[in-house]
Order: sequence, then C-alpha cells, then structure tokens
Amino acid sequence: MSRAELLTGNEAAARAVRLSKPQVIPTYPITPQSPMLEIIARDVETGLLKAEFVNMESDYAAMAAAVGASLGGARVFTATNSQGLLFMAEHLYTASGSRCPVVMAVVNRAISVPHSRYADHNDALAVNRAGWLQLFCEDAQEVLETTIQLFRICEDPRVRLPGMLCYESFIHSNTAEGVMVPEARTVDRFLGGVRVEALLDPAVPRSLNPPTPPEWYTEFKFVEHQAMEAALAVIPEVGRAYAEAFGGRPRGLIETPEPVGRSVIVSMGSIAKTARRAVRELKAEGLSVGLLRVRAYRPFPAEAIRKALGEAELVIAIDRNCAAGSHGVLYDEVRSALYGTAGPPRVVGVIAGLGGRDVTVRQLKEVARRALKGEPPFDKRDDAIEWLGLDRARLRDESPQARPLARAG
Amino acid sequence: MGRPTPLPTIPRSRRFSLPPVMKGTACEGCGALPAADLLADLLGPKMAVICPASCAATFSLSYTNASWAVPFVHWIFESAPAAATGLRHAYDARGMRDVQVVCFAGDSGTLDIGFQALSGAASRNENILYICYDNEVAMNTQGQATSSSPARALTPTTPGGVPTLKKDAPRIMAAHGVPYVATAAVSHLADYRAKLKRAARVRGFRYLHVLSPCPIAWGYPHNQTIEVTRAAVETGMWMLYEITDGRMKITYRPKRRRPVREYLALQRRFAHLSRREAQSLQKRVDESWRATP
Ligand SMILES: Cc1ncc(C[n+]2csc(CCOP(=O)(O)OP(=O)(O)O)c2C)c(N)n1
Ligand code: SF4
Ligand SMILES: [Mg+2]
Repeated sequence: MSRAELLTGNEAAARAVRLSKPQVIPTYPITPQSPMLEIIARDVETGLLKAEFVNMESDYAAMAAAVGASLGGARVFTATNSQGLLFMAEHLYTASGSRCPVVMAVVNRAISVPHSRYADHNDALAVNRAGWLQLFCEDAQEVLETTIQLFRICEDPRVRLPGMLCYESFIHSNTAEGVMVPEARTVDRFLGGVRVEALLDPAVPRSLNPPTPPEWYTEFKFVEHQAMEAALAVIPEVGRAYAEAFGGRPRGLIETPEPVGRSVIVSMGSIAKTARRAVRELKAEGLSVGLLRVRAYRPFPAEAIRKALGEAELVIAIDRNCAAGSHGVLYDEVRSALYGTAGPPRVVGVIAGLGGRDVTVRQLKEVARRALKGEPPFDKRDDAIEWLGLDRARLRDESPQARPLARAG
Repeated sequence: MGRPTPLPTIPRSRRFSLPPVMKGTACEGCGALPAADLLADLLGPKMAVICPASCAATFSLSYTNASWAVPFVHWIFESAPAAATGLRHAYDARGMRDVQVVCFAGDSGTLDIGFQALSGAASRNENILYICYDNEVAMNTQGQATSSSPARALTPTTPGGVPTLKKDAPRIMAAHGVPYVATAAVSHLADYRAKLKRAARVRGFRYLHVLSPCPIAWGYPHNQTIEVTRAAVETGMWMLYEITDGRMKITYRPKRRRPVREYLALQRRFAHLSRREAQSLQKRVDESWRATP
C-alpha cells in the first residue's frame, strides 16, 4: 500500500533513499541539495536508515569515496549539482569506467559565472559523455520513483553503470507536492538484495585499472556503450515493474501524454510539466500540438523518439541549457535522431529557463503559436532558434547593473 | 665516506613481487620496492591497497600482470585517501572490519595534489593506514620538484636548486591529532617493520612516511640505495621517530651524527652546492636535532 504525503523534491529523494537502503553515503553540501543531506543524516542518526554517512571534505572527495565504497561491494548514494558536479568530473569517469552502480541526485543548478543558485540543466549536461545514466524528473512524485528505480536499473547485471537522478534547483527541490510513498517492505521486495560486485575483495585479489594499451581501450569503451544500450530496455522494464508493484503510471524512456499529432513540443524536466498544460490549452483552441517528454537523456532514446515523431511535421525542442556557439542538446540530438528518416519533421529550437528564469504556460503557448505560423526566428530555414524571453533592451543598456558581470559592491 | 655496499637482496614476500615480464617497470635499486614489499608481507593477505598515479602505480601492474597478491587499485592521482574512506566504510558496512585499507602513495600524490584528501581523511580519523614513500620528486613524470623536495636540490623544474624547505609532512599529520604517525627509511628495515606492526594494531588514521630514494632522480649508482638512505639517517638529515597519541619518540638516534656534506656528496642533485650552502644545511639539521626531545 502506498500513502500520500506532502513532500518537497528533496524530501521525496531523501525518503526514497531511506526506502532503498544504500549502505554508504559520502556527501558534501551544496545549495539546494543540503536539506536532503540533513534529512538523510537524521535518518541515519535515529536508525531509520542503517548506513555509513560520511561527511567528506569536498564534492570531489565524495565521488571518490562513492567509487571506493562501490568497489568494496556497497550500495552507494550521494548528491550534488553545479560546481560540485563539475568538480567531481574526473571521478564520474572513474565510476562509469569501473562499472560502479552509484546513484547520485543532481539537483540541477546553473553554473557560475555568472553566479546563480537557480535551475537549469547545464550542470548535468556538461558531463553527458561521462558514461552515467541521466534521468530527468518532472515532479516530486517522479523524483521518489526514479530514485528507487535507479538503484534497480544501475545494479542490473546487464547495466552496472552509475546513474544520475536529475531534478531542478528550488523548482523541484524546495516545492512541496503530494507524493505517493510506497511501503518499506514492498520496496525491499522490489529492489531485492544489493547487487554490487566487490571488485576489491581479499577473498579474490585483483589489481584494477592497469595501463591499457590501444589494442584494448576501445573494447572497454564499447562494452560500456553496450551496457548503456542495454539500459534502453532495462529502464522501461523497471518502470513497468514499479507501476505493477506500487501503482501509478509506468515510466519509460520518453513520455507522450497524448497522441503527439503533427506539431510536437519536446522537452525535459519541469518545463515538460508546464508544457502539459500548454498543449492541453492549445488543443482547446483547436491547435494540434503534442508533447514528448524526454525522461532518459542518457542513454539517449533515439529509436523511441523516431517512432514517436514518425508522423510529425514540426518539432519544437525546448532546452533548459545552452552552449555558446552551439545549440541546446535536445535540439541537436532530436534533429540528429530524425535525420535520414523519410520526410523528417522540421526541428526548431527554443532556449528557455536559464539560471532559474520562469517558463510559463503562456510563454510556451505563445512560442508554439509562432513556430506553427513560421514567425521570426522560426522563418529561418536553418538553426531557427529562439532565446525565450530574451530582453534585448538589456543588451543595449550601458549601465553597469545590466552587464552580465556585475560591478563590485 | 665508506665503500658503497651492494644493494642487499630484499627477501621477496609472496604478496609483492615484480613478475619477470614486468621487471623493466621499476628501476634497479628503486627505494619504493622494499617499502612496498615489507608492507605487503606484514599486512597481507587481509588488506586492500589504493595506489594513486606514481612510479609505484606503474610498477604495480601492467595490462596482464600484477605485482600485488592482494586487492589493488591504480587510483586517480589526488584522491587515494577519499577512495580509501569509501572502501573502509563499505567494508565496515559489510562486516569486513578485519581488512586493512592501505594507501601507498608518492610524495607529490600525498603532499601536493592529494593534500586536501589526506587532511580530510586524517581529520575524520578514518581507520586507514597511509604510507607515503618519499623520493622527493614527482618521478613518474621525470622528477619535477614537489613540496617534499629538499632545499637546494636540483630537479628539472628547479634548475637553480629548490628554493624552499622540505614540507614537514609527518608533523603536519601529527597536528591532525591522529593516533599514530611515524617516519621510516628503507635502510632501517627492522625499524620500518616494527612501525608497520605497531600501525597495524592501531585503529584510526595512521601515517607512515618512508624515505625511499630514487637513484635516477637523486643521481647515484643503482646499487647504492641503501647506502644513500643510511647516510640520510646517519647524518641526521632524515630523523626516525614515531608520534603516538601526540607523544614523539626518536626510534633511532645515530651514535655520532656524520657531517651532512657526506650525504650531499653521494648525490648529483647536490653537486652544485657551495661549501657555505652545505654549512647552512648542516646548521639547520643541528637545530632540528636540538629542538627534539
Ligand atoms: C590530475 C593529475 N595531474 C597530473 C598527473 C600526472 N602525474 C602522474 S604521476 C605524477 C607524479 C607522481 O609523483 P609522486 O606522487 O611523488 O610519486 P612518484 O612518481 O615520485 O613515485 C604526476 C604529476 C595525473 N596523473 N593526474
Ligand atoms: S624512477 Fe626512481 S622512483 Fe621511479 S621506479 Fe625508477 S627508481 Fe623507482
Ligand atoms: Mg615522488
């Protein structure tokens, strides 16, 4: 039996951690992941969770310890975001290369400079080639479910890779919502025992990470790639198993709330949640606009996206990320997935919600209408990309307050 | 100066040895070999070794061969103590408290890039044993200066000689309030052995700093490693002591300290030193001995 509770995203993650029973939790605080750590620390102190909670000296060290603990055969959880995630980068590769099924919450936060504590996806996306699964949540319910599911997905012998649970700074982390929380015993059954292989074990002495010659390096990377491809099947499989065990809808790689129709908004995270309402209202106006939410960004579900968008004529990729001199990741990867299909839809891009800027239902409806009509910048043949809500007046303003790099004081 | 003694054959433990095909990965006379050998011999088989990028990591495993018969991981340069922390807690959570978690690291991995992780693990008093084998340079990258390089030594990145003093790592570690800190030298194996044994019995963070010369970097013939190390100890340049729960005890006191210049004269890295510079080093050594109990 599940029970409804009012939980913030952070509380939902912490509760899922309590239910999933990781054995080692090395951590280092960063806003706004820290309230979650504090709940977990209390759970460990009061015995609600039997685990080794370790206050490391940095985010970097937290990830090093996470990998060390995983090599020792323990189920491991940690959490970070933005600067902490970038600082960890070296060990993200240690984790995936050593095939350690570490689960980490990434409370997506914009990267400095300029400094910001608010949401966007640039942190997780900066490390999207590090061999980690990356699942993006749209609300607190999904945060709880995805946390539990990730332990099972990552420890699956077909996968054995680390996974990031991505949800957004403040928008998710500090906003309370109704969340259905499953019972502890049923979660035990759902996850089964810990399936983390102790690669460092005196009973079977091995030496790990030899200098690998060019004749072998490629094979290691290919096997990792295969594991990631296996995750394409395991993620929906575990989503279905979860829905069977606890109710709710089965979660997979992508989600299309309704038949997508001819024009489709593609997005992930909280913007996808906002877009649900926008497409409903547009439908009521008689405009045929659907929604495709990317839940699994790594592995990238190109096949599922191709299938879902087979009939579409226009795709509006809305990215809560940016890369100077390039495009949003959804714009690029969706376009690349569709390239070469028969009569592929036109793909246009929208950069939105950077550094925590609100993205409203009204804005999404308005930008969709303009895209449908082919109004600027969507009249361009190539790289038709809108920076949503960009205030050009500010770019002209010469006052120091308006510059992206603020004055002192 | 005495006649150079040939490198004694170090009794090979079953737990650490270079497989014949890997012989070329360590140089003859490498001071880190006996440091590793005795460690594996005394603490194995219930131990796991985390070894950050270094010469030791390089001679510990090739693609098809391993030197250690205990669990070993060639780790990222700057985070061995952090990984050891995780491994320790995994073992504890899984009821494997009797397994020693050991870091075996070079001086740069310990005192430069890895210093934050080292201090973090020591501050938490993690139950791990940390061995720093000190060859006073970043040798895996050809011998550049580290914060453990001694004053005035020539290295490729200090062509005029190291302008600063050698970092006093053992005392910095003792200042963390950890239960056991000791220095050792590969010339004094009985002393090193006793300290390893003592460290193995202590719970909490234990730090051993072993002077492990490198014939290539220091500039002396391969068969003189023990001789040169002994000279470091007998001239008082390298002090053998232990600090147990904050109390320092000299474990080997040279009967009559030999002049420092005898140690300097053995090595090419000090060949450029003027008489005055050698005298000033002698003065510093004298002072440090006067200041010890
Ligand atoms: C982050 C990072 N920076 C630099 C290096 C290059 N590197 C590898 S080993 C090494 C020097 C190691 O020196 P030390 O710890 O004293 O061990 P030694 O090789 O002297 O035995 C360096 C600079 C690296 N592997 N990783
Ligand atoms: S270069 Fe020096 S430290 Fe490195 S293996 Fe050779 S002797 Fe040992
Ligand atoms: Mg060195």
